Amino acid sequence: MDDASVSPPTPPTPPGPPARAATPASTNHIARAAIIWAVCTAIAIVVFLLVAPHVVEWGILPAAASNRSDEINTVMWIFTLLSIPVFFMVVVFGGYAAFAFNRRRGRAGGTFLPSRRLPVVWIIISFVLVTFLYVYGLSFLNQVNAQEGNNPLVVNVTGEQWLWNFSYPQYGNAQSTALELPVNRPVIFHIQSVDVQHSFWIPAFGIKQDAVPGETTTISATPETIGTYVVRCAELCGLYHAYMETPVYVVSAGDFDTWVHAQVTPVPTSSSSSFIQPNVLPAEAANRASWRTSSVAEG
Amino acid sequence: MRKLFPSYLTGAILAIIGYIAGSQFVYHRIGSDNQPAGPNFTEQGMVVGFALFFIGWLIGIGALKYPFTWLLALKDPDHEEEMRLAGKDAGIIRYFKFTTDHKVVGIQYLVLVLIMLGFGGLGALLIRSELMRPGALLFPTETYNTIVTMHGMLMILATITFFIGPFGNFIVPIMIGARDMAFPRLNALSFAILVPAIVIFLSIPFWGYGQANGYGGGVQTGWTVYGPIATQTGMGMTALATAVILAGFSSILGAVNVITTIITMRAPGMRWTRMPMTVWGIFGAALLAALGTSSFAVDLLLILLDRIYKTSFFAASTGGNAVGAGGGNAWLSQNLFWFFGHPEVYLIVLPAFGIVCDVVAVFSRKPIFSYKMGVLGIMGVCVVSFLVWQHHEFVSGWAPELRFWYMATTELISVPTGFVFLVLLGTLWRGRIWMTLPMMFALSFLWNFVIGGLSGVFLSDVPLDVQLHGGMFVTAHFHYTIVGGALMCFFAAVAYWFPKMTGRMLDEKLGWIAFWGIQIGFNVAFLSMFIAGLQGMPRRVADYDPAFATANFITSIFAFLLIASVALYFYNIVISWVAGKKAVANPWGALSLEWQTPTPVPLENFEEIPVVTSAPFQYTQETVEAEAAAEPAAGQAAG
Repeated sequence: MDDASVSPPTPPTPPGPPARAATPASTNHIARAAIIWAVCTAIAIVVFLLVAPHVVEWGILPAAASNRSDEINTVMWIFTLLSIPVFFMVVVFGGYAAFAFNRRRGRAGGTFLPSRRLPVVWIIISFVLVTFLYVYGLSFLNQVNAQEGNNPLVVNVTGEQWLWNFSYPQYGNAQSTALELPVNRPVIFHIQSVDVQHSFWIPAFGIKQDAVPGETTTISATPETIGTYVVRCAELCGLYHAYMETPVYVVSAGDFDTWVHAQVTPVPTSSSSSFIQPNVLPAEAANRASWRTSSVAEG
Repeated sequence: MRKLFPSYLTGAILAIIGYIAGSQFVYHRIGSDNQPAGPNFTEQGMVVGFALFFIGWLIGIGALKYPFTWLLALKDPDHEEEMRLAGKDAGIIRYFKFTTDHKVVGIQYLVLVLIMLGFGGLGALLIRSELMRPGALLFPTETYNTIVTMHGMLMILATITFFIGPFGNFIVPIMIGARDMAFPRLNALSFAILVPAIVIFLSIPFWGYGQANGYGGGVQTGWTVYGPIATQTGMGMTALATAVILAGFSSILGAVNVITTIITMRAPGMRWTRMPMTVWGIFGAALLAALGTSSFAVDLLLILLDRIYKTSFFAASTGGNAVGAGGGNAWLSQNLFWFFGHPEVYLIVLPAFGIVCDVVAVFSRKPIFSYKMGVLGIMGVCVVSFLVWQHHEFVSGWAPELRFWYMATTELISVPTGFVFLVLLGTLWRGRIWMTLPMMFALSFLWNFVIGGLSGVFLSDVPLDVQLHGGMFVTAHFHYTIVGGALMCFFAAVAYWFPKMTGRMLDEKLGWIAFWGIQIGFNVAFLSMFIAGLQGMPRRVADYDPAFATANFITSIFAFLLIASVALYFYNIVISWVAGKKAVANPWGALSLEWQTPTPVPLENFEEIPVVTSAPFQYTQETVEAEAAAEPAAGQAAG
């Protein structure tokens, strides 16, 4: 109570009635915290809006190379924008209370007893937020589930420890261990596994689907940008899980045709499912994990 | 010397004899023709050995004496014998034997949990060291995957225990005004089962290295132990399955005991609406443990059957590379696992909700704001948590037509969680806040858990989950909830109840340094891990694309700070326990029952059972003002 240096002493204020001094203070605190909350939220939203267009360029998000990527990024922006006020709601009000009502400030404590209104308002707001996010997410869910129409390219993907194999049934079962796709043509991936669970993930396309032994799972996307991307395994699948990745080349339709016809003859079908010698990182896989060899070369 | 019989020493001796007898009998007499046999052991031998290890331990510590004397109707133990079993006048040795006093069991749990967290933290240190730079730095992938698995599983075992074990046993009975748990011997048994489980668990790295079956020794599966890779991986899996089944038994027995205690043993006047929130949180967690754990135990049993008897629950027929005989399905494994796995994370965090509400109420000197909302929040999360598990399988291909429903339940669960935040903010508002160490940890929960919760909303949305699932974003998210939420509350709870449990104060200054180290290290490390996840880095990889190098380097450096700070906090616990300032009976001025007992709490807690007349933490304007006037210096000295 003798913390006069921190806050002005309350006793020498005879003119004001002492009962009044406590009550308006409470409204003040709420208003002050609300202003801080609004300012923090506004600043964070502005910063976010300034940063958001550059995140791909700065490497925070993978390149957006398919029709799925933009959807995902839009959802992510909306969710982030809605998270900012909620985050600051908790942090600002909690932090404000921790500082302003610290007993070192000499306050004798107050009563902020539950009104009926506040919980009801809280429940309503949280339900509204959740419902909005749900309905919003649901509209995109339909697109995730939707199959691509319009002359789709079918690719059969087979995961095995620790390789990806691709075959193109529409092109005489052309085989490859790297994925090559024509730009702007819908692709349907039929995914299988010959041993344990893997997960077929192309971060740049925004698609991921588990490869489950004995089952065929399906996912689709339309590549929209020519470039080189990567397939990663996203389910721990044993010893060399970290190295189970392979490049994705998105090329023009003409280049794809040339490439895929070249794949039909030279690779015999049996070699794709050849058993990998256990305990030895397949040289082929090691070479294809280009970042691995380059990092070894670095040091 | 007589005091050591029976004790953990005799238990350990009989356990080792049991293991050797069991495994060698199977190896020499039954043998095996389809197992890659190591030096003198097979997997069949391991299981039988572990079983006898466990039984030998129970016989050695004397846990089976009373059930058998009762079965054989020799005699019922009289009150004096019960008191002796509860460790009356036994001195320090009572902590090293089968003792039924709930306070002894609570301390035993606390020490074991700290040891488990220590080993788990060591795993984190090794993981972050390996991931500091791209490229293979320290371990072969075989070792790395084993460390990842053990870190995950051990931390889960520690965190599902670290509220129900120490505080559910030590604090809850006193809080509700009981003399002991409902089933004291069952209570001691649940701890006694956990000890051999952890010993077996820590043996995992020693099985199957060197004589690899082609898929690595140790355990290569991650803590999710999905079939069929759990069938394919090294012999460590058998040790893991046995250990976790035992730990699951311990968890279920402990939970049943806690539930019964809370339902039946409350003091007169301790109505459901007068229980401190801690009791509600632990009650909800115990319900989840009792109902959910068995699903995981079944999963592990099927894995053991697949491994040892060559059944094929999880392996499908896929031709030459198939793991087992075929006919099984891997989705079964995912469902069995996550039906336990998701309630399990709420099991970890529900007591944290309760404890943080109580701590905030005590150090704000206010009654809990909107108590019923808090209870509704905890019990709401408890119920809904059983309806969300499929969100772990959004990309598994299993039942995609159900995704809209699980997306709804998953987003719905954030509503009752939000209630808890309302309770916390309302309790803090216009309180008289005393910034002690427990309070600081409780406040850090607000910051950390809101980040964990909001990132969870991202993952609940199917289109986003398709991109983020299986990546570092998920790892960062659940570390925010479990470390940032639950572990911070554990540290708060340790600091808060330390005076009651040990009779000494936890050193504030060391705790303060550790607190800031923990907060800074944790937040920078895991915010940076969110970035790695957004960039597209998969989880549980031993090596990664140099594109993720910056984010991982920052994560590693700050993870080291986090680990060092936690180590400092542990050091603080040890040093304060041994040589801390003596504590008075109620150093915090708390109003709940456990603080009204003397320190150390006598056997049977209360001379006479108290009668409760009000809801918890009924601080009033008058009492708080009187307290403020009475101790003018305290605010400056300790605040």
